[in-house]
Amino acid sequence: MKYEAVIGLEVHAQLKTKTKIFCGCPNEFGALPNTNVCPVCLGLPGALPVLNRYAVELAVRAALALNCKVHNESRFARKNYFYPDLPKGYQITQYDKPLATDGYIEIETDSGLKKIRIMRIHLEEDAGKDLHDISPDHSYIDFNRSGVPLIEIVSMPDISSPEEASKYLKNLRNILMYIGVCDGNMEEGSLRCDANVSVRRAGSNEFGVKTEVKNLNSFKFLEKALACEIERHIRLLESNQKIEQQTMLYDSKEQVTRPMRSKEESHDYRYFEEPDLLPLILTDAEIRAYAEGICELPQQKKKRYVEELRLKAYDAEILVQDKEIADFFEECVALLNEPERIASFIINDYLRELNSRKISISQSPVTSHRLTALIKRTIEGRITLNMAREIFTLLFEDSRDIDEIIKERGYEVVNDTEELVKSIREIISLHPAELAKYKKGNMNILGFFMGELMKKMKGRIDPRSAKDLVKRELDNA
Amino acid sequence: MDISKLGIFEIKNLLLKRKICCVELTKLYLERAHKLNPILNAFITIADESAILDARRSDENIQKNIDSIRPLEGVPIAIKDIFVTQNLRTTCGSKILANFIPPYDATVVKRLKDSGAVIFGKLNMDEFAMGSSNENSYFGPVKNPFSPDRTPGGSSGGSAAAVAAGLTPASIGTDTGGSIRQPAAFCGIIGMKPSYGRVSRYGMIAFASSLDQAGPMCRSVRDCAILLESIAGNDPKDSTTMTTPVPHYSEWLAGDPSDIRLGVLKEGYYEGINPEVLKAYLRVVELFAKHNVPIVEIELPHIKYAVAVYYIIATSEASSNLARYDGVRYGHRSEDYRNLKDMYKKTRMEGFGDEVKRRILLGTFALSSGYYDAFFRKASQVRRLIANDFYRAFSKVTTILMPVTPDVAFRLGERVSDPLSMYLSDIFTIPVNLAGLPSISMPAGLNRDNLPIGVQFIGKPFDEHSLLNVAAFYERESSCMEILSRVSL
Amino acid sequence: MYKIRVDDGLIKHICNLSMLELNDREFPEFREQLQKILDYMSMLDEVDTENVPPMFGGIECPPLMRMDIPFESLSRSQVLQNAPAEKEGLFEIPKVIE
Repeated sequence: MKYEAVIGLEVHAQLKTKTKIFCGCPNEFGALPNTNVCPVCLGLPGALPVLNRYAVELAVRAALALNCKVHNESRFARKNYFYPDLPKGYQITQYDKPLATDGYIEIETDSGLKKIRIMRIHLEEDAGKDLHDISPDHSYIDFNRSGVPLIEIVSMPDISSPEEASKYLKNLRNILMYIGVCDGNMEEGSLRCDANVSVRRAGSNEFGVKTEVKNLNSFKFLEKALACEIERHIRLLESNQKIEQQTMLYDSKEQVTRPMRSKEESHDYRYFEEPDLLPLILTDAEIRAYAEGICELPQQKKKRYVEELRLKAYDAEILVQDKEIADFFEECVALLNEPERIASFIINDYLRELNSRKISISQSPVTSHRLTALIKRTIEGRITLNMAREIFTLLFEDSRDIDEIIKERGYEVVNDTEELVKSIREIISLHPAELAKYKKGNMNILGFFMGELMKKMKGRIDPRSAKDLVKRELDNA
Repeated sequence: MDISKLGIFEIKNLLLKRKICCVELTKLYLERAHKLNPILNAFITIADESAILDARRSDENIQKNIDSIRPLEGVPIAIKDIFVTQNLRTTCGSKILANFIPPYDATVVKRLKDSGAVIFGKLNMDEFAMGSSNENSYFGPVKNPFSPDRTPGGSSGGSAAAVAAGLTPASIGTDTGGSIRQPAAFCGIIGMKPSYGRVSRYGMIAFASSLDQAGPMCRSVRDCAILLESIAGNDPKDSTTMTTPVPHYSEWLAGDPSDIRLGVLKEGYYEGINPEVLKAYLRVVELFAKHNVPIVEIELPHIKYAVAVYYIIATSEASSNLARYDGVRYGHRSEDYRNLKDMYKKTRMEGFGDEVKRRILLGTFALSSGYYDAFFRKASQVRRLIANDFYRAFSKVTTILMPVTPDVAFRLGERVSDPLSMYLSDIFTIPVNLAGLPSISMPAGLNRDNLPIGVQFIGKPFDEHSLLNVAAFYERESSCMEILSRVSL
Repeated sequence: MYKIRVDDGLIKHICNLSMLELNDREFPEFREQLQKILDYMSMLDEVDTENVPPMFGGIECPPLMRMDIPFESLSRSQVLQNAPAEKEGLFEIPKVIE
């Protein structure tokens, strides 16, 4: 019995605004508890919400970047339920008239590009934070996060595997970061993901019973949890057991999904239109204006790298993964028009150094100027590529002029023909047997002499020009 | 000095002419409040200390020079305990907020303070503005100054009683389904509910968000205009306030009847109301007719559904607005609970009175799954029909005249066990809130038991200035405010 | 649809949704009152509301939005000044079980 998985993802992304969605409190992570709070986001009696214009702008940009239709009129609604981190006893969100609908993201699969449709995007407010681990008898609440602007992005159940889910989330995150809407920091909770999972017989059009898996806040956990849950569904179906429609949490230690304990009856949220806010009206002109704020997206950039800069698709893909890296690459190319060499250096060496030092490119001391200067020296033949790669690692600690470092470390390639010829003649005189082999017509012995020269010069030769010299000397010897 | 008959306009005169200083005047009001509160129970909080400080500041301003004198400089005023006042206890008439000290001021409060007013007390009210008799207050009922065994009306009962009895020259109340106009009618004073969106609701503890509105309660139409001027206008903290400019309402008191076209309902509509109320209302119609004001019959075909519509919409919004009272961040928290859910339930059970619980449950029901369409949505549709009826009527008339209540002030304890009959007494005030219109309630004489009767003038949205003109005309021609000379406390 | 019969189950359900509890005296009293009120409300059934857009909210006009500029928040002591229980700047409540 072959089964296929049917997955839909609900992603909540915090918007990169300076202030919260309905009040002027700062939107910042990590502040001292309860210091970014006002009557509105604390839910004091008499407080009223006022919408942040920039939150709307960012939400519209996100919707456009995700190919959605942005609606000229959308409305806010109250979602009513009791929970300690929800100060008003209701969340202001959007219900039957969301900001945008009918979009999509493309992901790369083995069988080509696959479109994952997006059902809707809407604005809502975040809740406060419960801290459960401070004491066994009490929970503690910090309302700094209450009122932070969110967009909720709901996909259609077009995703068919944990890997596809991961790709979808990666692409979505990348796009949101690219257009400056969200900082994508999953550890800090700026991007959160829940999944709806069901399973059905391969080829069937019916939907199986769906369960929800919550708080999948890393790519690794996302894939593992989904694989786990899909397996659980299949196991239940194969043994003719019923799948309960419930909410599951992923236990990363035991690597299983477990039902959430507190799910008693399903909530009746009693949605009704928010009377304290008026309908959100966006003219076509305003929507267009927000669209202009969007920069080139990853897929477009990759296409340009491949077609115009002649990079390999694989290399281009790596570069566009992170907007900062892509920007850095483009900066280097502007300074030194050698896209392939630069790409290669970044991919093979720079990324490795960043990873091992656990810093981002914006925190790195090796600027585009220094990198391109280094690469230029290899083009000029003053140092070999291998030497450049060695020097590169030094640049993270050593801020001196590149030429100084080259000289001091003795990396400079010996270009002095006289010196080279002298060394070559010395080597030839030490190896008469090999010379004889060469004279007899053994061309491969050239390699031996090159090796000896390399040893003698401690690698400080430019192989191509040195080879010509060695050959000439051998011919004349 | 006898302060018991003073209004804002007279006080301004006294202060500017230095007949009395602000501190002295405030002290007189504070003394009077302390003396008479045991009888009327109009005050929940009397703010002796902060009032004297504010009064002192006003005295300094008056000493300095004419330029620094603000429109309400040194005028003592007590307001309904529904407006949050920074560092001054605000209870909303409820146990659940009995010790709540707000860290911020309502916009209405801020504007009064910025105009120089001296806020010296918070007035009693029905809990969370839910009630028509001020018998639903955790702090006990308020007595009607015209007759102590009668209710003053509600929910702004404390405000109405205090103004009528001269414990405060004027007050600011709130009106969701009649809560300014009905107590004003029961207590023989003037009460105005402005258009929805005219006055900020920021800091006004919410009952029904799409209906609540703050307004002046006074002894003269001029005082009404002065107060409305200082509190009206767009507030960036309240998305539902309009940017329509605020006219100089004090300039609209000529009382010129020439452009008035008065709309009235068929008399048959008032079948069953107290005959004395009907008689008083008809006398008012006659007064306007005598001055050649055209009296035009209008129809409001859906008005009979107004109470049902109101009690669905208002309670639904209230059930959501009152969810924040959960004992987590402020207010009463039960001392005896086993877990979080228990804490919520016990806190709310202990903290809320019966009427509040009743309305929360009714509202929760009307929004709940399976009932939302038949109740909340349907009511909202009928609401539009009621509003449209009014807009249609206003194409033929400038002002509509109606009674305020079907009866005069009832006895304390008379209606508490029958909530539906209590709701039905709001039948003339509720439609106005549903349509968001401005309305002003004016005294129209006494019944044979010397209990006040009121009538209301209803205007088009944001037409408060025309309404004040009509009211000024009526006040002058009827001498209706003489009724307050009957109160001697 | 409109003739709703108010039974104990319904009342218990809405009590749960609204975090309220009625004691033994209040329960039957409330049930009776609610029934009476709902019976009264059923008059709305006779109104023809086909194609009538609902009026949600008291006013209809585009909202004024706020610029993304920080405004002074409350101080932490103000935030906590009415807290029934607090510890080290956090609101304290009975343990929440996830």
